[in-house]
Amino acid sequence: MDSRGFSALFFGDLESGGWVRSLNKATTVSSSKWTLRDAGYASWLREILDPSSSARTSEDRVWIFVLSPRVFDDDGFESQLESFLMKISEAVGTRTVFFSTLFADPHGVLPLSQGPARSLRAEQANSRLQAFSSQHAWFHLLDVAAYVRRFGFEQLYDARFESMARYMFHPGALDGLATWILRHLSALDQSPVKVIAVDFDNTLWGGILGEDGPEGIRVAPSGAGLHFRKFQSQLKALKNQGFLLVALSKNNSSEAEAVFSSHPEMLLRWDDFAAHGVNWSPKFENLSRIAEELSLGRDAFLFIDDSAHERGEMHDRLPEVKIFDFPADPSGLCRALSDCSALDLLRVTREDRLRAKSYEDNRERQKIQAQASSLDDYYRSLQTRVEIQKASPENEARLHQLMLKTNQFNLHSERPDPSAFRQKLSDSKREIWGFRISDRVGDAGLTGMIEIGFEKATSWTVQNFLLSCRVLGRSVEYAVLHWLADRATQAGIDEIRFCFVGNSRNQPALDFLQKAGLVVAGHEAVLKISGPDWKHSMPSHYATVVETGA
Amino acid sequence: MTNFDETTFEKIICTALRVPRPDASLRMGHTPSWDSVAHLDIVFQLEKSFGVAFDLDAIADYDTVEKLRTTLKGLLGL
Repeated sequence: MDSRGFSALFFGDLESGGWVRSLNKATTVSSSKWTLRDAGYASWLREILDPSSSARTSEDRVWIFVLSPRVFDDDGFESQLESFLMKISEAVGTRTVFFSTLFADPHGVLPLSQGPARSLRAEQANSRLQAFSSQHAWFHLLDVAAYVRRFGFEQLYDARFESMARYMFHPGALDGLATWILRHLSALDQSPVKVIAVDFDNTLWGGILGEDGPEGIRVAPSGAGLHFRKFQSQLKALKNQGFLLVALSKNNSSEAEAVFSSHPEMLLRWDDFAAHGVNWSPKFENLSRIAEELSLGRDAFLFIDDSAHERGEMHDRLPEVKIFDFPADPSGLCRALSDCSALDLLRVTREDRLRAKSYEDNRERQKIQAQASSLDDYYRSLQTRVEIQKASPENEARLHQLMLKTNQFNLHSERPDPSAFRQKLSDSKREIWGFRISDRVGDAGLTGMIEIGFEKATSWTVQNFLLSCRVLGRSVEYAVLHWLADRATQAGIDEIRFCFVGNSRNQPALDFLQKAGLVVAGHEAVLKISGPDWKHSMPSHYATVVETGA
Repeated sequence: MTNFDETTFEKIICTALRVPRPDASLRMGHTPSWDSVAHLDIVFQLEKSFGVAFDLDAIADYDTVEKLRTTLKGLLGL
C-alpha cells in the first residue's frame, strides 16, 4: 500500500454529498479501509480541466466519476467527454480511475420516437469509454448502466430527491450502488480465486445421478433443468475468461463421465475440467491432492456445493478455501455466481484466457517427459523460447496482475496496488521486464517478471523475480538468470543482489536461489559475476532468450 | 401505512447521526453530523420504514428530533 492509503475522491455532474455519505456508510458496514471524499458539486469536468484544482493536487489514490443522464441535456456533452479523456491522461498521475457507464433517462419525452435516439447516444458514449479503458490499464469502467437495468430505474429514482437536492438516485438506491462500487475498490487489491471446484449432483444438474440415473437428472433449456443449464453456461464462460474448473463429486467416475458425453443438454464437457476428484473420498482430500497437482495454493480455490454438510466440512478442514454462498433455491444460482466477489476481476488479460489451455499443454508436456530418455532430452525437445520485454503501457496490467497472483516462485510477497506499481514503472532507477514463454507445445503468454534496481554503481538489485507456476520446471528461471548476468557484465557490474523474504508459500523461489549456488543471508542473496567462472556454477538452461519490444 | 414505533424511529435517527441517543438538543445545521445529506437520509429511512411520504419542499421545517417525530405522526394520522 502506498502512502496515500485507501483514500478516494468522488466526482459527479450533480450533487455528490449523498454518494459520498453512502460510500462511507458502505465502507463502515464492510469494515473496508476506504475513505471517500467529495470533489464538490458538478465537479467532474471542472476539476480535471483546471491544472491547479484541489482535486488534481490531492493525494487520493483513486478517483471515481459517476455521471447522471442529465449530462445529455447538454448538446455539447460529447465534446466535453473528449476534453475530459484528453486531460485525464495527464492529470491522473499514478492514480486509478473508475468512470461510470451512462444511460438515458427513460422519462424523456416522446419515448416511442425519441427514446431509441437517446439510448443510442448513451451507447455511443459508452463505446468511447470502453475503447479508452481498453487502452489505459488505470481506467476502469463502473457499469452503472447495467446496475440500473438490473434493479430498474423506477426503483432507484425519486423525482422529489432530485428536485430537492439534485440527487439522481434516492438515498436508499445510493446505499445499494455504494456497496456495489465498493466491490470494485476491493478488487483493486484482492487476488481473485483461480480455480472453481464444483460438485455435480444438484449443482451442475438437478437430482442425484446415483439415485435418479442419467435419464432422471434435470438439465434442460426449460423447466426445472433450466437453472442448472444456465449455471453450466456461466461456468463455461468463466473458464473461457481464465478460471480453471475442477470436478469434485461423490459419484462413480465412469458413470459421471458418461453424463457429460451422452446427455444432450449438458453444456460442460468432461475435458472442461482441469482435474477430477470424482470418487467417494472426502472432498477436502481430493481438493488438496488437486491443488498439489496444479501447483496452486488451496486459497486459490472456490468450492461450490449444494450440500451444507460438504461446505461445512470443507470449511472446517481447509479454512483457506473460499466457499460459494449456495442459494436455497436453484433459481438463485446464476445471480449468486454473479454476486460472488471472490471471482471479481477488474480486467481480463490475454494470459487469463490462455490459462486453461496452458494446463492442458502441461499434461501434454508430462507425456513428452515420460517418453524422453533423460531430463536434458526433455528440456531440449521442448524448444522453449523466452521473449523478454520491458514493461510498457501494453503489458502493464498483466505484469501488475502477476505481482498480485504469483505465490510460489516469488522472491517475496509484495502486493503493490496499481498506483504503487505505476510508481515503480516511472522510477528511473528501476526497470521491470516481463517474460513471454512459449515452446513447441503451446504459448503460456506473459508469465514471468523481474524488477531490477540500479541504485548502486557496481551492483544491481533484483527487487523481485517471479514466474507463474504454469511455467515452472522448464529451466526458464536459469535462462533469465543467464540473460541478466550477461547484461550486468556488459554494464560493468560486479554483483547482482537478490532480495528474498521467505514465507510459507515461496519455497520454489528459495530452491532456485540455492540451486544457483547462492546463499541467502538475512533477506539477501548475492551472485558474484566479477570473474569468468560464475557461469560454470550456474545450472544449465535449454531456452532461447530473445529481447524484444513490448 | 405502518404504526408509529418509537424504537424504530430512534434507531433511524441514531444511526444516521451516529449518536447514542436522539437527544432533544440535536438540530439540523447545528449538530455536526446532521447536515442536509444526513437529513435526506433520515427522511428516506423514515419513509421506507413507516410507509409515508414527506413533503420535501418543507424539509427545513422539521429540523429537530421532536419536529420529525411530530411530522411523522401527523403523516401516520396519529
